Amino acid sequence: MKKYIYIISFIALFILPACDFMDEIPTEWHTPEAAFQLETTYERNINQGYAYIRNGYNRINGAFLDAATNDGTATMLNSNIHKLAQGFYNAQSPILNIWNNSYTGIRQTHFTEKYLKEVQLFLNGKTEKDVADIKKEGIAQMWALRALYEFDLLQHYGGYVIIDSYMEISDPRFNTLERSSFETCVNNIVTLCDSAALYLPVKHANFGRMEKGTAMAIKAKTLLYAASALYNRSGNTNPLVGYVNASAVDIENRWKAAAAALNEVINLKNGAVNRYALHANYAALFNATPNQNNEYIVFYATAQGNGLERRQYPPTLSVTSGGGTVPSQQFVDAFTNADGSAYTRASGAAPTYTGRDPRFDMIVGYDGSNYGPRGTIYTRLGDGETNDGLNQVKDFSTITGYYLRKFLNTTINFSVASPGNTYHLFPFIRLADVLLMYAEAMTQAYGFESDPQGYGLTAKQALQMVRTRAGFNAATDQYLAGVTTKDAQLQKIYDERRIELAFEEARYFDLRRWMKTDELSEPIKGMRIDNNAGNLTYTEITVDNQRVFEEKMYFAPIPKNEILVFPALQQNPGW
Amino acid sequence: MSAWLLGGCLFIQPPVSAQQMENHSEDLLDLNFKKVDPDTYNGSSYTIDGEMFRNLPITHLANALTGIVPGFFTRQTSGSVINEGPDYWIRGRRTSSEGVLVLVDGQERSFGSLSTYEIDKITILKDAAAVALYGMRAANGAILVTTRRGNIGKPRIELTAQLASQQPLRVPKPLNAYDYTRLYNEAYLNDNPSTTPDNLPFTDPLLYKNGTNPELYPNMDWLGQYYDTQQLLQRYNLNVSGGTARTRYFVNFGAMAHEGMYNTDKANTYSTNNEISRYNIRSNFEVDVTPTTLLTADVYGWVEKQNRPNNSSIDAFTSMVQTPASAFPAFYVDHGNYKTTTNEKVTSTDGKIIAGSSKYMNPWTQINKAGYGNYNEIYGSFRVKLEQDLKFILPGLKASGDISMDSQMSWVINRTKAFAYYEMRNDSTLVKTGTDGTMSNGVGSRSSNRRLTIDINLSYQQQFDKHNIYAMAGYNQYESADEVSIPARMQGVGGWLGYNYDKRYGIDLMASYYGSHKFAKGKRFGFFPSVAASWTLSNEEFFENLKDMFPFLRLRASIGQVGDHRGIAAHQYLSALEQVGGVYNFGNNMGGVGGYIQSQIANENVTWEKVLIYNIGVEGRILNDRLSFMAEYFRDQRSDIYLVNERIGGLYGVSATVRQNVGSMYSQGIDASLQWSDKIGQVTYNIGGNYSLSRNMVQDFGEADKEHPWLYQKGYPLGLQNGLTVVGFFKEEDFDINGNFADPTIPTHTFGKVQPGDLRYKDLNNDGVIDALDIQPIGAGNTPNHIFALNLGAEYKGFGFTVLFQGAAEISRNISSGGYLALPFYAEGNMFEHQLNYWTPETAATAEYPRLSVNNAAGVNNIRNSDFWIRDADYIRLKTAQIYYNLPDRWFRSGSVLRGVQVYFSGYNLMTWDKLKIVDPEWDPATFPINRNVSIGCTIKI
Repeated sequence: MKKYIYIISFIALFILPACDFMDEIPTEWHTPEAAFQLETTYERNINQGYAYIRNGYNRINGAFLDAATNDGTATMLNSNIHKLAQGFYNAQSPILNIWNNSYTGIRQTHFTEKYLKEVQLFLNGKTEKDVADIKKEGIAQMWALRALYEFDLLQHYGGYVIIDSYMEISDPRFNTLERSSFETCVNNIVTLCDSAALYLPVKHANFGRMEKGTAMAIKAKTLLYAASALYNRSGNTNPLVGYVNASAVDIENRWKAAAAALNEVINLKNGAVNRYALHANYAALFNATPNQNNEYIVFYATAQGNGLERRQYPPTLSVTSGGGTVPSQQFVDAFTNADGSAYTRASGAAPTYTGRDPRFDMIVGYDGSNYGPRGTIYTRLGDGETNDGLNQVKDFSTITGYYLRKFLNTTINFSVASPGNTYHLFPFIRLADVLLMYAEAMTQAYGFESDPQGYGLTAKQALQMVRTRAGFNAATDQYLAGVTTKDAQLQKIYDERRIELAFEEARYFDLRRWMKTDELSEPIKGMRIDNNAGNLTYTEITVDNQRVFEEKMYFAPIPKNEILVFPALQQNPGW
Repeated sequence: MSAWLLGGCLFIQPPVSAQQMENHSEDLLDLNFKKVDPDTYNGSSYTIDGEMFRNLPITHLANALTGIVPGFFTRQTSGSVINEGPDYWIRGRRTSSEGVLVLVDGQERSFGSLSTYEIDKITILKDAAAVALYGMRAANGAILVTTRRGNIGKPRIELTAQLASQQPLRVPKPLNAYDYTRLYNEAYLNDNPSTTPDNLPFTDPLLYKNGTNPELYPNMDWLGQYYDTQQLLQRYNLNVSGGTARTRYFVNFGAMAHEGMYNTDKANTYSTNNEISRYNIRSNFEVDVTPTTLLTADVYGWVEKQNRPNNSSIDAFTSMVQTPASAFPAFYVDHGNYKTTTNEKVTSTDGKIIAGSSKYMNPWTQINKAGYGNYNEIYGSFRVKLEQDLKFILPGLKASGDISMDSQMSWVINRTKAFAYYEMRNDSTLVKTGTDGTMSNGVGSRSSNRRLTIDINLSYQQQFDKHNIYAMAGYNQYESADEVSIPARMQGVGGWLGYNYDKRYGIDLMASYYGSHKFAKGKRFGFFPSVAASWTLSNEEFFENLKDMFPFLRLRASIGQVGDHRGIAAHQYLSALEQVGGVYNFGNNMGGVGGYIQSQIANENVTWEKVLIYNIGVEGRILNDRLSFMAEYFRDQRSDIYLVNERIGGLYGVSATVRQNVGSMYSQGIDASLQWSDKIGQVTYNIGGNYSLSRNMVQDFGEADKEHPWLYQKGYPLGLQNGLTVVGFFKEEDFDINGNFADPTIPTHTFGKVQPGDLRYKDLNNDGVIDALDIQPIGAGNTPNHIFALNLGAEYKGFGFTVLFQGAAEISRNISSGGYLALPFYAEGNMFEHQLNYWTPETAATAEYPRLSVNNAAGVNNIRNSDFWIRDADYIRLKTAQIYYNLPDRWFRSGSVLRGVQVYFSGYNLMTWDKLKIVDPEWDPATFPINRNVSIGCTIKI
């Protein structure tokens, strides 16, 4: 009997295993607590908030976004930019799609903000107050970044879904998400910017970080959009795409608010001087070394490279590629004469490439233009024909007769083994943009030459500042001669924006917010030059006559997958 | 060949008759914790006896089950000797993550390396009732293997020797050098039509044909010279078993050796052939500690070693297939006067200068001059089980405890050598590349694993009058650890309540409450119930008159819900951050900075896949137990399948892939078998067959909205291949003089520039472009929908044979998946005889392959998956055949040392009939060809 008891107990011993038999978890995985606690790693989480800022160079299938306006087109025949410009897009394949990326960025900012607040950070040699300040600045960077992502969404889609906290994917709130009204979104961005500006430094030692001026500039641009015609249509009943029942007084107040915000950016002081100043040389601005660049306010930072030159140089200079986004004849005709007077060219007449706006040479590569150390390029056909000529090499040669020279550093030389690298920081908002926006807001709010609030600059003076930097002499500039009505003054400001901010994604959105969309369905024209033993004949050609603009295209469609996954999400009208 | 030299050995073995091929009521079904009478067991299962396949010349046990078990779907993709069992599914492919639970004596182990002589029975469990006690582990079915035990009696010795010849089936045949060079030129001309004759890659193909200078213009038959088409495989086995009333034992020693597939020169002191050897030892020991206590102690292990030329067993074969006949000879004979281009004299140690080029590997060099590697594996296991009969407490009550521990280790020793190779410029100059090196010595690819299983059981069985009651409760835990991961652990309790009235009505309730470490605390355990019932009509009163005709007829049905944890990574409920570099740039020099991304997004609700299985069946034996039949229908519904959820919208803002339990699918099918065995005079014979059908359908796989219905997996069977639809070959009149399409309605082919003779595809969505949107499901999938088999056997006075035909239908193979089988010169490779019927303007009407091209590589127009390359792979094989002779009993009078002797011939994969023709229908061209094994053997019983 005893034997059996021993045997039974021996068997029962097997039932010893603990109830926590399966509790072991991989403790080596990094948890937020570990990531935010250590001095060596906490900053990575802040950096990650920046990781979703998008580039603007070659953003749509290798082409600039403005190639879908009448400013230009792209040489790559298969690029989706053509579909975008010709209206062959829809919610299923929207082509212009920043939705996913922006929300990934927004989520990351919430994640960093949440854990910066919650997790205790240990830094050597810093007091508790120092640590608190560092955390506050980190959180302020997150707010500013969130404002940037949200502005991008506002610009593309109108009212968007405001995500105001960090949510795990199982959070039930995801099921009821819907888009907020345009008004709420604008207010949200403004609040974020105001809060961020309180804690951000005026100038950060690390170029590229969010600064006070960055937050203020985002706020100012948002307010400018909020005052624009597209979002204040009379009779608008859809709160997602603008203000509902905006009265003339409301609109005027919005312009005033925009002017005030823009003024704050212009007059932001770094010590005794203004934080931001126009760079001396327009052409060199876009490749300037960061420390010398005080004009950029909101931009995309990336390492040096030469990919943009590779893509945009004429084929003889690029060797393996070339062309890319190219300007149209209309854009070329939009440059004024050297004295600022309007340039007119009779239909079918030969264009003049000399004696034009000083920026013409810096922006456009034309037949016989000088690419600095790279020599002269010709787009003519016939005698002296090269691969740079019209339609010579598929996907690489110009299809309009012009190349885009802006943003390129002509010291980059692809015929040697080490072509060199340069800076290509894409500007979202720079001081020239702010000045022109200021001119627009002031004209709309108070008038072209009045400054009742005492900001220190009238609209006209702001406009002149930009032109002076461009190379015009303020005293002899004919640009504003005989321009007296408000509409004409605004048109002059619009024209200046077209040239100054060419291919910086300003035109695409500007034409929409001004509701001047006839130009978006204009056929794209080019110029064919034939050289016959020294005789040049100029023939105007139509490059793309399938440009289309419909009312629904004021806003991009929300990707179809989102509408299907989130039942409460509303699609933009017409899509 | 020498493989066939063997004197007569005498082998004794009871004849493998039909009676062992079916579930016979005298044999008990061993479920490891209980032995059940198959006639009253209500789950769906099938058992085969080890004696059936003991003599088969197979090297992986799963191959023994093909064609014999209804519902066991297999696909043998590779013919390598070691580690290459077939892929197998029980009742077809039922879910997206595959895997069958294999238990050997109650412990989850791989069973492929066990010797066939150790196995007593293999039982396949198929429906929910049979696997309910395993919780989440056996939703796709289970295979239970039990090993042999000793019986009471004086020691019995069984000694077996078997020699097999392994012959690879359907090895591709490369072209000879003349045809290769001539056709390469033709292909080059197709791609570059303006080439002049003296600029062609091979200026004079005829030089390769006339053999005047075989070193400069070689014509090598690599496969013919260096690949052995009759490989020797040897198996030896010795077992001793016996016992007394108190102790019983079964001890087995097995050895298997394969001589290697290559014809090496054997000039080195070490072997450079891919030889394999494996040794198994087992000792199963039982002791009656007390008359009511049984102690079982099993110890077993095996050791395996593979030798590999140049530390790879397959690279040499691949280069024999892919290196053209014209590339270079195996070596240059050293006439003492060779100089390199830098004017150094070339020397060689054995008169052979290594030939080679940067484009192709030299097979001879790989199997002779590149050193070797060794793969070693050791497996050790022991098990102790204590069973106590508690009839002193309550008659019919039993308890048992079982603990098994396994340990496995493997590593690779690398002893390769670098070598310089030479290309002949003319008969005195060679171009040298590389340097000769000494042999290295390193170890790598280490892996180790240990497992532990504990089982405790309490059961009660009693018969009251006509009522038979069975109850069982058990606890089980399992742990498996490799080097770095958190060990996989599972734990659960199970219960079984069975009731049988008068052997007529039976009902079983089985359930388990089982958990896995993969899930979050509090969400780990699930309850998995099932119920099975049966009605044995043959024991009914109204059946009395028919009892002679129908000794046994039973209807069975079961329904149950089990879980499936396969395919779900552990700890998905936690989130993980991962450091990454270069996420943004700051500072004057725009230096990159690092960031932290969420590499795993926490999925707090992660859970197991739910499986609902219905099963109904009928089985019976009629005509004096001579004819037995079985037919079953099952339906398997899966939900909460864990897979990538494409419907996570951008608003979630997650950058990592999100996997959730969003999938669902179902499958249904039939298993049926019929078996007849009888005796005419002194001849016993049997004939029978089985058939299984399994079809599945995807209901929801978490797919995002797609442009066209054919782009979904939803609504189609799982595992279908997809591809473009081919309209035909492009004709010359389809193009204009500039090489563009003459007819503007021909859609743009975006995969490359097309010419006459290329494949022309159909534009399914009429958007004018052939691209990813025109890809649709094609064919029947690469797992068979139908499998069937036919077995025959007979015996007369000790002399007998058995034959098994096995086949599969509704199965497709994609010929283009390896590339080189479909297109000549693929990735600068070889061209084969089966590709000779290629397109030219003259052969356009009957061509089987597109036009020749030297640019064939991954992604080109002609290699795209399409219905041109996805073909029917239905087949029927003469799978096994055995002819044996038992020496007459009268030769072995009592008192003589020998008890019996048998000789036999046994073959595997003997013949194949199929539509595919080019290649074996099951073979994956990236591995060794499938083999036919033919063997002779004998057994002596002492």
